[in-house]
Amino acid sequence: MASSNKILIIGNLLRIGGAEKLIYEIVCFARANAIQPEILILDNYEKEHYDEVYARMGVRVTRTRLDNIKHFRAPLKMLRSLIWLIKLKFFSGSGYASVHVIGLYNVYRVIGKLKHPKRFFWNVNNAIQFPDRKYPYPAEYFANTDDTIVCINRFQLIEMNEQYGAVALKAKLSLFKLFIAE
Amino acid sequence: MIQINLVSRIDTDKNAFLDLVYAGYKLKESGITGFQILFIGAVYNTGIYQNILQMAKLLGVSHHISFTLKSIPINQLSPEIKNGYFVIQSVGDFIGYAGIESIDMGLKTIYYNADEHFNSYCADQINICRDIDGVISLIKLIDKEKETVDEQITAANLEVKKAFYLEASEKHNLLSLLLPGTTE
Repeated sequence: MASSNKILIIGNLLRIGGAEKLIYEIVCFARANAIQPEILILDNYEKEHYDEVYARMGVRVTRTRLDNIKHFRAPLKMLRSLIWLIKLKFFSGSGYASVHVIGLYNVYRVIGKLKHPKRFFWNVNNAIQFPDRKYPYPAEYFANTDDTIVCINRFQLIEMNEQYGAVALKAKLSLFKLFIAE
Repeated sequence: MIQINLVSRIDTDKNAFLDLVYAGYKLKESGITGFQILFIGAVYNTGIYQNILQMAKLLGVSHHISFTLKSIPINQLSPEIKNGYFVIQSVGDFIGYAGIESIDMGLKTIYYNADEHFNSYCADQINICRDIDGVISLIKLIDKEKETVDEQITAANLEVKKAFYLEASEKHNLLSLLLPGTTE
C-alpha cells in the first residue's frame, strides 16, 4: 500500500481560479517527482478550462457524483458513480498513497464516503471571505486525528485556532505555502 | 494620468469596489485629479453596480470612475490600461495565485490587506498596503515621483513571485504530504 505512487486529488471545479491553479501545481509537482496524480471532480459535468490541459498532459480526470446515484438516468454514469463510491469507501487505501481534497468547501461531498488513512483537506479560504469572519464548516471535519488540514497561509492557522479551538481541532494542522512547481 | 484598475466581476462576493470609490474621493479631496479608476469585469449583480454608481455620485467622483461592463482578457486591454496599476486584495501579506498571474503578465500590481485583524502583518513592502488608506498614500506617492515608485513596485512584485518557488526543504515537505510515510 505504501508502495503506491498514485495520489488522488478531489475538487469540484477546473475553471480558471485559485483552487484550480493549486490542483494544477500539485499535478505538475507530482509528475516531476514520479508520482502519478489522478483527479476526481464531483457534482460537476461541465467541460472546463483545465480539462483540455490535463488531456494534453495525459492526467486522468473523472467527473462523477457520489450522492443520489439512484436518480441517474444514464446507466453508464450511474455505474461510474457506483464504482467510485465503492472504490473510495472500501478500496482507496490500496490504490493511492494519499488523497487530497482541495477546498474545505468540498469536504461535505466526501466525508463518510472517503475511507483512507492519509486524507489531506486543503484550506484555500480565509475567514474574511465569509460572513462575520466565520468559516461555515462544522468542527466534525477536523475530528479525525489521522487527517491533515493543510493551510496555505499562517492567518488560516490563527483563524482556525480562534474559531474551533485546539480541543476540537483533532486533525493535524499543517502549513504549506502556495507554490509554483516550475 | 494615474490609471487604477480592478479586475473582478461585479458580484456580491467581492467587496473592493466601494474601497476604490472611497480612494477616489480621498485623492480628489487632497487635490489630486489626474487619475482614473476602471472596473474590469462583467456585471453579475446590478444592485452592486448601482451602489457603486450612486456612491461615486454622492462623493463627486463619477467622472473618475468607469466600467468595461464585460470580462476582457488582460492581453486585450489597451496599453494605457495595462500600464496602469492593478489593485488586488490580500489577507495580511498573503498573496493568492491571482496576484502571481498579474505579475506574470508584467502588470504593476498593488495589494492591500482586506482583513483589518491582520494590519500589523503588512509593514515593509511597498506593494502590499495594510489597508485602503495605504493604497491612497501610495497613489499620492506615485503622483509625486512616479518613476521611482514604479521601479520599486516592479522590483517588489518580482520578490513576491520568487517566494512562490520551492526550496529544497520545501520540496521535501511537499513530497511528504503526497507520499506520506515514505520520505521521512
